Amino acid sequence: MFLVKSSIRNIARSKRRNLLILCICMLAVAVLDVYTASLESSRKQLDALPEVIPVTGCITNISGSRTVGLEIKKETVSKLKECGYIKNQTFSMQLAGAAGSFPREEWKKYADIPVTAVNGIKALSGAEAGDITLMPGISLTFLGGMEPYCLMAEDFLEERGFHVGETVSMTLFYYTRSVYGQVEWDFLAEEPFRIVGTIDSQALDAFGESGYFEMVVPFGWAEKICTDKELSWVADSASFVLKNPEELNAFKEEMRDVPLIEVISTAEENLSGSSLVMRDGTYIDSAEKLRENIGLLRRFGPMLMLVVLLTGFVISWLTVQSRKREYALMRAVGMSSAACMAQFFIENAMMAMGGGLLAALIAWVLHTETGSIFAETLGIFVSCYLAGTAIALGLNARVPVMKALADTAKD
Amino acid sequence: METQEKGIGGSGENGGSAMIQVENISYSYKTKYQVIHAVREVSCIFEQGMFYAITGESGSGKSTFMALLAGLDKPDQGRILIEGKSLSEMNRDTWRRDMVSVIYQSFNLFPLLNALENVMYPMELKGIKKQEARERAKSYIRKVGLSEKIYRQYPQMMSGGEQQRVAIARGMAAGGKVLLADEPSGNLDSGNERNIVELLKSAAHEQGMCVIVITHNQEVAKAADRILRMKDGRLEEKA
Repeated sequence: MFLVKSSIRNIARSKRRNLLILCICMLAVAVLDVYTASLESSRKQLDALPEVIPVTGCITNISGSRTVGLEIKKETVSKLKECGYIKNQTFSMQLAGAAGSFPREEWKKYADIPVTAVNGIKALSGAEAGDITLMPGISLTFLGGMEPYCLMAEDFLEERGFHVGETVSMTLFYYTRSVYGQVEWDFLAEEPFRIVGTIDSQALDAFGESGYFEMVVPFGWAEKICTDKELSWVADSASFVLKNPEELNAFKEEMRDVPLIEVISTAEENLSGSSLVMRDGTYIDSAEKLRENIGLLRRFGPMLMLVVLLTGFVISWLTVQSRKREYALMRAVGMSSAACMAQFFIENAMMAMGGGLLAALIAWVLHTETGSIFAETLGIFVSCYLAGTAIALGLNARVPVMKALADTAKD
Repeated sequence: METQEKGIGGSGENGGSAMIQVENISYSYKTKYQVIHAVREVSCIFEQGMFYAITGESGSGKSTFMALLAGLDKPDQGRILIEGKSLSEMNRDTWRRDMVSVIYQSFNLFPLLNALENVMYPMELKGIKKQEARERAKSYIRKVGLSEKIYRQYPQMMSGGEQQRVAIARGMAAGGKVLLADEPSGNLDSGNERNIVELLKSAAHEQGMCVIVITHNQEVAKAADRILRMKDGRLEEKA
């Protein structure tokens, strides 16, 4: 208690010197705060990168020239659905439709409605929610389900005299490829579809690679019909988002079993959806830069701690050297060397804590969401600073009192 | 005392008991390039209630000898007995805290403490309660001839004489049995010098302390009960 009281008294009565030490401590903590905040920010950016710059992928033909209008086997679609490495899988299937009743053998004459089955608006390349108008109570999530709802192009709706909310009997056909490689259309189902919304006809032209269609139905509905009837069907496009870009190689390895292989740009053109293309260039560049940044900061960390330790060492050393007379006097009145150094240590510890707390408080006020980082920084600063202090005081404690008296007498 | 010997300093014949008994001590300063024999085979006795003056030229080993008596270091050979007990076997910090007061020529007071706090310091170190320490400090400050206005003054605001008197007050208030002073009047004018000498004599004769003063000043030396002379590290009694 005597040492603590003496320390507080000494600190209060050496205002100028202690104010300088306080400022140095605050500056050191501020520098450490900037360092830890930068490191934390880089780490957070790296963690958030998959969300900010998602790595997407899609199925293409072997030459990589087509991403829609493909023939993607149902087994491939199933594998993609089950794969744990990816999310937000989108699929589309080309169908043909005919409205109303007609003789089955004349279906070719009547099946003039291009239809696409999708499991989400993202499967319509280039589509935006603003291009679609839905009836009240309906959301685009219906595309992820199996209900016989549909969207129709505005012009088509008007031409056929249909209305939103109306239920229209539709006959849908799916296509397969014969052994000779020819496209063949087969009956899929006859179903009453409720028209739940429209698509802007002008926007349809801008739907890019998705191709032209006048009716959109849920992919799940089409898939269920095919599965129930054990039909051999194909999807014409498939895309997805990688959950964790760090697992890209593991994902590619799993896809080799599908099998899906890398694009061979010199291969002959075909429609088979047999290759995998990952759009990961931007992610990889950004991630590498962030990792490099983090690595550099981490390497700099120990040096920074050493600087703080040296700061504590130098300040304590100079303090004791400038108070040699006081030290000699303290020893002369019967204070042990350990008690003298303990008093100096307590004074330094109070200054370090005071300066550090002030700096941490200011930093916390300015950036409240990173308060825990600054608490950690304060802990690192106090540890390194007091380690330096302890070394300096330990070295000074070894100086014999008589030498200290002799040096003081010379002063 | 059983171990008392007739020797330099005292013999107990005057009724004083041997406070400090120095037996054949030597001390050297060792540097990388040389060894300096500061104290050589010194033996003497210091009694309570006596005022001793140690004179000698600069570099004769006086200050070193005093530092050894204060327990600031151990002699290379020989021993120092304090009331019959060897100083090297005692805790020397405790010896300085409880039994000895040391006064130097020019840096006696803690610069960050006022006069009252300086005098209280050794008492607080011993664990004496603050209130009691304060009262004793005030009493001894008055005893050395200083007024109340000095209580809150810091050393840099005091004259040299006032600083030395505060240092003596601290030495006496601490309740020790030995007062060691190295050139206590070295920086003072003759008026202050006489005051200091009177205080030291009072500490010895009235309070029964063993007062040992190192001095170049013949007037101070003449005021002592016994004068000892150091030459080339050896002690001899001046007639």
